[in-house]
Amino acid sequence: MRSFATGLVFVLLCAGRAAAAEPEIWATDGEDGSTRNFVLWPNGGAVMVSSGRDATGRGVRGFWHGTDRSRFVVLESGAGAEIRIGPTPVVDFDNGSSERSRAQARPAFAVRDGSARWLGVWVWRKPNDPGTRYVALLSDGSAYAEPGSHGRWVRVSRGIRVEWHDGAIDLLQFDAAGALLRSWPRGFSTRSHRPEPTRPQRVGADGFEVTP
Amino acid sequence: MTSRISLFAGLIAVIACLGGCAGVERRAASSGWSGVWSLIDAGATTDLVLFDNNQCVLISADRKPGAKGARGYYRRNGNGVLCIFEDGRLLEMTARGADTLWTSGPPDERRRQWHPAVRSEASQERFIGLWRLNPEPTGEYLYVQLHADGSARNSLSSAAGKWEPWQGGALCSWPGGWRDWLTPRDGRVVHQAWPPGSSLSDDPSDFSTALRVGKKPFAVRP
Repeated sequence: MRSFATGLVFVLLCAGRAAAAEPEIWATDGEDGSTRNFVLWPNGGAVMVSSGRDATGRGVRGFWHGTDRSRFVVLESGAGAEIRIGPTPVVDFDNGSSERSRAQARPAFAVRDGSARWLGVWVWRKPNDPGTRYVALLSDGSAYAEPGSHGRWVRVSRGIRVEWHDGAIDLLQFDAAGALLRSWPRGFSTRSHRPEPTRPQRVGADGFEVTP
Repeated sequence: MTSRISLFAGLIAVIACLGGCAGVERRAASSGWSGVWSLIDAGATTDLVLFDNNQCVLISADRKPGAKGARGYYRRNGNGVLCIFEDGRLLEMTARGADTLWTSGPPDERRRQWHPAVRSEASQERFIGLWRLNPEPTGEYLYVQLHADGSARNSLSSAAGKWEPWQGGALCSWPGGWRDWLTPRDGRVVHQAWPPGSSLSDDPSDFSTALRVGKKPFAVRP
């Protein structure tokens, strides 16, 4: 009985911690029909990812401040946004150019379904590779990686599968210890080849280190 | 002939006006807000440094731990600027007539309390702010805050020091007797330090490059 109670407390604590660490995600479209996602972390960090012309695997970092009615975002690129919350949420996005060509407010929606836990930017180091790899996953199903790689992602059992334009496959899942990634280069079968998993990190979840 | 001359003069006037207007617009867009602002009524000596690259650094005498400031980004917002810092704090400035005001209240709240902000003298502006100096034996860098009111803080001690212009640079004096001198040299700023009891004519105990935090793009990781 006691172990059941202890287990229940543990599960509740874990659930509470996981819930507290989840970001708000707002999706909108850009002027050119591209998709823009704002990932707003409770620690004040913000990540913007976009598809189309400005797409990068690394995304754009920044900070945000929330009020009852709005979310204010400023980004390292000089761009910024105000997300106004209401019956019909809208985003005012400003690309930060000196022309101040603020676009018209565009409709936005909060992503709250099961895909929310995957959206944003993930970073990891490949086994035997000192380089860092960034991957951006967007609410429209598109995926971007550094450098210059793009693909699509779909939900699969316990995770997501990314199919890259060059034929490579990534499988991102969660296990008891957190996120787990397996990558198959082009030409390797996902059934006969079992790559070494890595532990990716979701950008912004642990805050940003800003230096100097 | 007369009409040709007047047409030519008019054309020159229009071109001159367009050039002048464009110049005003450029100044307003790029450098209207950059500089050092002292925030009055902030509860403690507080200065805000806005850089041309959309980065901002807030230094306050009451910030803990140490004097490492708060880093953030800002953008133009209507008649002013909106700054958001790494911890999610927000600060807004606006121009009202000849006055500049600041607030940290929510932007969508009408009853916000606004306080005056004062731009620092241009001659001192290049020194006021947060500086990263030499690495310490602990592996951490020494940071120094220079405030517009002449006070100074560092990341090693909670005791306040003071700074003053000296020989083209900024000379900091600390309660323990240490002195730091920041001076521009060959396109960079050099930091020299003297321990208690030594003279400024002695060789310094430290000689390194000082980095003004915010002038170059922040590294944001991961």
